[in-house]
Amino acid sequence: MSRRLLIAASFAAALVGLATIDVRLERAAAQGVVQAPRFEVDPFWPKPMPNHWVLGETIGLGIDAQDHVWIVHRQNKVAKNEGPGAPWVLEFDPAGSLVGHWGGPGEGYDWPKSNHGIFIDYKDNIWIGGNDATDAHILKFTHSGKFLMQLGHPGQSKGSNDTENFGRVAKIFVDPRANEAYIADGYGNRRVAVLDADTGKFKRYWGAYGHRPDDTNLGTYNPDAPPAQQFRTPVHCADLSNDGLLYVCDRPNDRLQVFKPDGTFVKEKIIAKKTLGDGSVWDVAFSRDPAQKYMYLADGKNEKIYVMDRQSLEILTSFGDGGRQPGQFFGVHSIATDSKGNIYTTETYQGRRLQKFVYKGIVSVTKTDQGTVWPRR
Amino acid sequence: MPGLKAQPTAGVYCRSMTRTAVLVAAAALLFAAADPVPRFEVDPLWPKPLPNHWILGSVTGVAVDTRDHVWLVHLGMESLTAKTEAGLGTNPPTAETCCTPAPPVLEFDPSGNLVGHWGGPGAGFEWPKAPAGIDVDREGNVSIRGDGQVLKFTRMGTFVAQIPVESPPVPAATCVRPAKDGIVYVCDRKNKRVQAMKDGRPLKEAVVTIGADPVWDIALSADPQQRFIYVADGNDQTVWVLRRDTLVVVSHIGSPGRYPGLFYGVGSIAVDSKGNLYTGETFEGKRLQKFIYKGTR
Repeated sequence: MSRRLLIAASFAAALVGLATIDVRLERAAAQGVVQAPRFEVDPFWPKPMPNHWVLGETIGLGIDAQDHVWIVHRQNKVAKNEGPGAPWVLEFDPAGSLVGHWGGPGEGYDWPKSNHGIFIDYKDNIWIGGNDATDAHILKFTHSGKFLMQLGHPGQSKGSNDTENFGRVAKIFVDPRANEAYIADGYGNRRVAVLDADTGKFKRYWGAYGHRPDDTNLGTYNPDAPPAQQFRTPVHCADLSNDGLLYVCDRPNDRLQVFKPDGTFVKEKIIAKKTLGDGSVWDVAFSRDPAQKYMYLADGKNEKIYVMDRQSLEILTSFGDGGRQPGQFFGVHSIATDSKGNIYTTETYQGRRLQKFVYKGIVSVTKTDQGTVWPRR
Repeated sequence: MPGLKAQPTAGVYCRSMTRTAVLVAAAALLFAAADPVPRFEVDPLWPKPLPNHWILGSVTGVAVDTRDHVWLVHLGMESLTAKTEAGLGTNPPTAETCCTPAPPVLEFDPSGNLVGHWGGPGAGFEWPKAPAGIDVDREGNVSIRGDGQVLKFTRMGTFVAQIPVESPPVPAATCVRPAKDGIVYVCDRKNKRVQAMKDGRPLKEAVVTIGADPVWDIALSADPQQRFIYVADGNDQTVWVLRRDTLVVVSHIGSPGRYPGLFYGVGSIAVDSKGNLYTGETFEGKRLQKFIYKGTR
């Protein structure tokens, strides 16, 4: 072998070696190894309810300071042959036993025609919205179901710039530091409204990008059109992080918008952009570490939970799929976390379940779509 | 199932059943002649998740073949809400990743793996709009009932023949299940009863008086004597357990609900060679469930 040939051969070998390293790096990048929390469904949680009670559309979910899991569901939507509908508001202890139940029409307030959303505030009071065409109000009760306050009146909504009524409220979140209630308003209105959590006094409100809300019908969502300058209805969540960022679900627009508490627009994230109809951005919950490093986003149209980095809004992985078995969804509507980092979900439509996903620690994740997450046998 | 705590199939029913079982056990000690009752536990992780974001429509038939493979037929898109749950199955799609109806006929191995799938319109036959039941014969041929016809396929789904429909032994019977001893059990759903027949003549009958519409489908237990009959009650959302010799209800499995072991529209039922029970739910239940046989007590 001539010397020149030898040099050429070793050069070629070096190139091949480099190429191999390159391929490995590419593969690692393509595999997208990330650190993310892992979850497994608990198929035996919650425990069967007494009296053979069953759930209707399970349309609201909240966790209290004792890690009790609260739901509100539509008892009136339970078909006759489905079984007896449980009371409207249900409280489960961490073991999954039903420990409290109340709700429904009563003296001094208008129970929503179509209840929607439940939140337990830092004073242990319970907030409930409603999304029937006439539901223009929110209700506040004590932990045991004693009526405290009604804001707004059925049938009285005057649109997104009304400061006395709401427009079919989807969800409520109370900020303990400022004692303010953030209202995802809603199925009729196209705004976030902020109230004093004790008096109910209106403090401020805004629409998409912080604009003054405008109720002009935007028509059907088109993924190829420029981003809508207003929220599409429903505005489905408005949750505040510990570091003062408000995450707003602009559901049929397939986007999450982030604001400062004063309504200043910060940024947005488009999720599953080609999703039509109900949209992809239904509800969010935060991980329970002090930094709330992760955010979980429920997509009731693609039937999955996205695990995101909260600061960058990057999707790290996702889990869940359509179906009626444990860990699967039909209309995964609401999501919440307990102090141990477990995730809870509720399903509307014909899903009609409350499910628990047990936190299994931070792991290396390579799959962008984990599918149904079952316990490892 | 490491990491999984076993849980009875249904809350209140099971609590009362446990009490009954205790009483039965006590009676057994005293008289050593108590009636045994078969016991089951739901397997919440059976079958395994379907591939391709497939989902089930209303399940209208369940059968077990000689290899203990479990078969189902379901109604597919006809029974799904295109707008909300089958966004991948619409044209154009309205969702990115979920979901689309699974093929109408699915075959699972005993571990719950999907090992076969076929069905739907084809050459030489008319696929029923509403398949009402599925049967697998000893040779492994699969029959699909529905729309007043029976279609016979090979287990791979190749069309064999359209079988003449025999007039049922009881008008509008929803099932016909022959036992090994020659007695045939018929779901006389309209009259709320299980009809036992021999040589084409009524033998005796059980008028299942619990509930308004209890006899949707029946299966016989797997023991050599076939001592028990399981009756799927899609109206009251439970499975009644009858003694075959007396046709008296001795127990029941499950109660209403969407969680594992609970039912919504439990309309079909089958038993494998080990005595395990499989149920199919129609309406918005839309599941195939397995109940592991835990012996009698």
